[in-house]
Amino acid sequence: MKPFSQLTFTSSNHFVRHSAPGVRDSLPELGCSGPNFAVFFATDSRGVVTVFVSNGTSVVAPVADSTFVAFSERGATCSGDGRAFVIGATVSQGDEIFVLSGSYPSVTATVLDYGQADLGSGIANTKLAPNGELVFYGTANVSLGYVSGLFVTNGLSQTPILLIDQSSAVVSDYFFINSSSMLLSYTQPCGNETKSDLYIARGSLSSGPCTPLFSSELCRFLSFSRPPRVCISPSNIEQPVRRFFGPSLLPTFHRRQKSAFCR
Amino acid sequence: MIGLVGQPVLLRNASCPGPYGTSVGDLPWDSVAYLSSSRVVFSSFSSASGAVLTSFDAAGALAEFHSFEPGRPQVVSMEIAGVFPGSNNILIAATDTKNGKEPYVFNPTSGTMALIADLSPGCPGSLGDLFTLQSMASSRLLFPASTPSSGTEMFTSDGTTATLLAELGT
Repeated sequence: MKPFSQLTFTSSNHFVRHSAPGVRDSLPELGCSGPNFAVFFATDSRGVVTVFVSNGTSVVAPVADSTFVAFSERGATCSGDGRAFVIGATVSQGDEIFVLSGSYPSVTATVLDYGQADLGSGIANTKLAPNGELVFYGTANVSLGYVSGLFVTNGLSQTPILLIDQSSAVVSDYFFINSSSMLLSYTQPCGNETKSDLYIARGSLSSGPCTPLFSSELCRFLSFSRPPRVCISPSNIEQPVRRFFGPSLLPTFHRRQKSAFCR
Repeated sequence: MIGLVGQPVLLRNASCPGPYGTSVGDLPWDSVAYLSSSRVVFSSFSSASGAVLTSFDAAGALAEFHSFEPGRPQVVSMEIAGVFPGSNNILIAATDTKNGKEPYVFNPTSGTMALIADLSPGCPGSLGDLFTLQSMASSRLLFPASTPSSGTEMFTSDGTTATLLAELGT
């Protein structure tokens, strides 16, 4: 039995510490992994929470500015598909979004619009779009205030742009079909319950063909996309969607249509 | 569960305690892993067999590890922690009466399990609440573990050995 002085319960990951006196723990926390490298968070020799990347046999800290490598607290979230990762972390100036990209060991880290695009939490399900941009779930402070939804970013120093507002409905998953269309698993309130359907979001909804793929529900979104249209936020959706899908391909999501689904 | 065609096949009768059953009211498994080779592995516990790892494929072929069989370490709990990239072998966080909670590797085809490393001799062992990260490039798993000399750090394993990835905290 070890003396009590050597037993310490850590609140972060519930390890029963039994290291020798004077040994400093890095207390690694869950990150995310992909084909090229894995990402995790740990306390470095300075005593600050830092992001590390590893190929399984060695570990490096990404090339980044000083604000990135020193998180002020634990609890960062990470998601990626192996080619690029998005991290939501708390730094001294607030909650921010960071992007990791590159190939091991030359991994670079970029902070998105530092100080303005405050991120709440819940970075998840990051995917690299066919056009090279990153799409991810999260909560960010855009012009409407804090909004939860699907965001898109090109990974450069700019504000991540709201792609789909999930304040009243949730995209539980999404898949890129090609550069102009996505398959969405969309869950929304329906009376006192919720319903989940598959939808296809593609450009030019009002005139595009309705092509059932795996479910007849795929057609619903298109069939309800006729006027009148009440866009959630034209200023926050049209621009990114144009950039993401191209100027002639404009999927839109409408509050009125959402309620119509529940008939 | 794994794309079976036809009628479901009973693998275990959860209401029938015995060598191949779990106690009435128990969950049939504690943790589950789905492997790319159409094989599913789950851990369970019964008073007769102790901690059990069960592996089966779509045809129902079973491979099992029973901790209470003679000559085996007295494992009292097993948690599926991750799948080694490329091999389908599984990292198990197993607690036994001699080594505490340490990393083991389970072969889902042969049903054999082996201690990878006794990173922290004696109880309570090296592992806490475990998570793993896959490193596809090196076919390794990363996981945190605690040793007297390193403290709690990230370790790496290919299923045969486990080594300290780096002393990040010092």
